[in-house]
Amino acid sequence: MQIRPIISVWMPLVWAVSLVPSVEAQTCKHKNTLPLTPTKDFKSHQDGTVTHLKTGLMWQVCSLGQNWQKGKCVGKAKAMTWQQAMLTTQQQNQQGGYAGHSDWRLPNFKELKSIVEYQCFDPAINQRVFPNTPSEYYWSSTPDVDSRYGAFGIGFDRGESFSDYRDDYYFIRLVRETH
Amino acid sequence: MYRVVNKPLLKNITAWIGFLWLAGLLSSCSLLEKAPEAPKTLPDKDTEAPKIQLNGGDLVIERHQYFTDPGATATDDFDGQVAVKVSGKVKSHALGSYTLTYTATDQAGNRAERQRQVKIVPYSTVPPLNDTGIAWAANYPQGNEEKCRGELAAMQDCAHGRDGFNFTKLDAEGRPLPRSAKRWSCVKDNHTGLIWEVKTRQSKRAGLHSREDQYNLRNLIWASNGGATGYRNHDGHICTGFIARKQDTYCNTHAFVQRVNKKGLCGAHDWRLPNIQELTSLLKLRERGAKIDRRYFPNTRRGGYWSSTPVAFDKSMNWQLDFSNGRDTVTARRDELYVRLVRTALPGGADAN
Repeated sequence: MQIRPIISVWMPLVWAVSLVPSVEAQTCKHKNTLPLTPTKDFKSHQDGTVTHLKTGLMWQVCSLGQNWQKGKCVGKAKAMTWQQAMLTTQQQNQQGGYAGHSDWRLPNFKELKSIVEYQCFDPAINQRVFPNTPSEYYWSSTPDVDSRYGAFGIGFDRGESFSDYRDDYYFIRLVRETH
Repeated sequence: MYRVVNKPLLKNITAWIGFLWLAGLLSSCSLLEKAPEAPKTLPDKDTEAPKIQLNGGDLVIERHQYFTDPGATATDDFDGQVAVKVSGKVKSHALGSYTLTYTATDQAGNRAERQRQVKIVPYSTVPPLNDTGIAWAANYPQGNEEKCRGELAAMQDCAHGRDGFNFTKLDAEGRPLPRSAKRWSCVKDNHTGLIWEVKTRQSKRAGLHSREDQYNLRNLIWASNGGATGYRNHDGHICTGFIARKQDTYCNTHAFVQRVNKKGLCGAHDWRLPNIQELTSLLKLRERGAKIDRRYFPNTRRGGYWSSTPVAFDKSMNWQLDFSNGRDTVTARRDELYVRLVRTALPGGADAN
């Protein structure tokens, strides 16, 4: 019934801290931890999208709000409610789509989790594939059955999952199926 | 007092009678069996080499897994059990094919030899994605639908991705069983290609796979242990068969995997700890209560199950998953957690069925 009230207590704090421009570098343990999302498992389409060969999913390289420019993501990613996340995605699909596709959607919980790189933290993602990813919390499209208010997401600072109120503000990265 | 003293004695007597009867039965059976062969007695000279029996056949092992040789036994027509020598080396950190040679020599000098190929293949990363189990839509900012309908349904989990799981029960030899089977030892996930250990009820005969058994985390492979080996024996007797000062009976994940691979499970000797992505593939978030399909995975306990995935920001921890609430968290390796072992079904191999 109750959904980790702790998160809602300290998340505003995290936002406050994240407003300060951060130059914190990612840490990866290349030596003694096996990567679960090695760069060779992704095919880059050189247009702001990559395909994860293990899952067949095509991902946007940048978070929503950022722009893809020559292999980098520039600009600030946008945080939004669970509803805004879906409406914004719908809108993008209706207004020409992205990289020639108009069937983008929010990833479900397992899909979102499949791109966590547990070898790294701050952020817990392969930055060669997903550059300039903020160390932030991201929404999935999976609602939480144990709550009337919750939906699942993943914290890409350390790779942990969370469930929080659907009207809280988190980031999104879109996905589509290729088969 | 009388009853207390007398009971074990009585039990003993019945046990002895039973034992004698069984022994008689067995010996008469073997006599009967041998009867037609009676003229063919052993030759005067031992000219036949011992017969070597390999535990498990050729093996395919994932890179950076600790390799455990399941071993071999040899029997000789004159000498009975004969010692088996193994030569050859498997480098589990390097891809390739390796040969182990087993030799056994009887007292007359007859020598037998058998070989086992061990192939080291790339380690598993992310398995093909399974369903999340969600078949209903949520409303905003609150409320859940019974079905996949409502304002935002088309953009939600219930409208996309895979629907449903595809499991097959396997018997103790790894052969497929019908869905209605009452007893099974392993479950094959036909979508991810992963084969999972199934836990048994706690009992005196539970053996290696009791649902109550817990372990501390231990990983001796430096390429994959995050920079620390974890704990050998932090909590003592938390699993079946623990004996103090006998390392191979200890309740840590490394010793457990070795025990299972020595003995074999569902016809296989390449069991390992699942990574956090593999463990997550079993999550079923559809309804309240257990977040796993209990029709295929009974005896799942409330509490964490170890993954092989180390925690990048703390080398004294690993990731775990709790199937009672679906949550993944980081946990100290000295903690007591459950384990569900996994192996990868090999296309075209013994697992093709």
